Amino acid sequence: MNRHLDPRQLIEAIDGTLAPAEAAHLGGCAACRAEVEALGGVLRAAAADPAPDPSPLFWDHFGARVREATSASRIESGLPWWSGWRRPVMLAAGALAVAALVVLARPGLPEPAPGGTVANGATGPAAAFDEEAWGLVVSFADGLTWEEVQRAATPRMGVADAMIDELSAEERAALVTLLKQEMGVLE
Amino acid sequence: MRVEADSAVVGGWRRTPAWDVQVMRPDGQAETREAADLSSADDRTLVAAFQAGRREAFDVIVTRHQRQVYQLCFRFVHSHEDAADLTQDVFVRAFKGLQKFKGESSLATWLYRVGVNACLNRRAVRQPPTESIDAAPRADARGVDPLTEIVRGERSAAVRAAIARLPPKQRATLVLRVYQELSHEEIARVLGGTVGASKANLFHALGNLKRILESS
Repeated sequence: MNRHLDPRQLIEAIDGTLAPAEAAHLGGCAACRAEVEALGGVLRAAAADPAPDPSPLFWDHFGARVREATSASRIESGLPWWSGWRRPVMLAAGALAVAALVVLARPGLPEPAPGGTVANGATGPAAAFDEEAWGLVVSFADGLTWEEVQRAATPRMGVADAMIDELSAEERAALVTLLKQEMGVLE
Repeated sequence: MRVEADSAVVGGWRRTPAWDVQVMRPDGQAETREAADLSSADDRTLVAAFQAGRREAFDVIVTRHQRQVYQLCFRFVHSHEDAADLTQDVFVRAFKGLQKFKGESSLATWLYRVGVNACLNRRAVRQPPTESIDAAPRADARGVDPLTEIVRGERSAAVRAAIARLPPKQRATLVLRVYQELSHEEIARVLGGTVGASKANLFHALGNLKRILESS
């Protein structure tokens, strides 16, 4: 090898990781040896600068400083957004929505109570459906206190699973059909 | 004793079930052994614990890596106060970014990367440091000739001033190789380059340092 060492090889010579062929060149080339010695001298001069080492007391305070600086930051959990406490709440809310759909779509709804009125001004089949649905709500709500309504509307853990368990096979099939219709995936 | 072995994969890593070990005390209270377990856990375990929401894992990470991060920062700012502030800044950044850490490199390498970025960004907006006697770290000078100590101190100050004048990448390479004793492979991972580029940067850093020291 007649070429002088390139920058990468000069660093490898300082590190002591030079390949045998290049090491042989270095042994016979005064210019490359001088370059390696000069660069190595600079490196040793830099390395001679002592490492700073603060007192142990500083490190005791430092941990507290970092804790204080990060205390306002919340750790974002790596778990999916729908996991944890949100899951039962979402399930309960979903179950309530599904139950409302099942009840409203059930055939043979009872007639609204005499004197019951519909507040909106819809007409035709939609208005008839609204009247029936509203009548059903009125008949269910008759005799209930506000606290009872509130308690019934507040989702509780496991309520969705319990409600679905109570459905018959036909009701579950109807539920699936309704969900598909709502999501627009029905053929 | 109740053991919940949750093997959920968090942040690309499988969670170690050890964190979920709970001991049922006679009074029925669950006693979590997480603190004792985390202090001896390896970095991967600590990161996964943090990503699972266990804040105390970060305290262990700080304790384990604070000295290296501080020394890295000191090599860029040459002042204890600035290095302490910068080290805190690095760990605050790490706290905010650790959730997205995928474990493709070691935690130490990632912290060095955060540290170098913080140091270079800070250097970009601040004036170069003026070397003061107070800034020089204390070394054990017992049994050393005072004159020799003065000469050594002056030489250290000259080397620091010369390093401060290097271009950022050369400076970072020199600091990581000479003071943090990282391999060129590790430097390449920290700075986002190749092994060849790391060696070339070190070559140019040493050459420039030699010229600056000779001219001063």
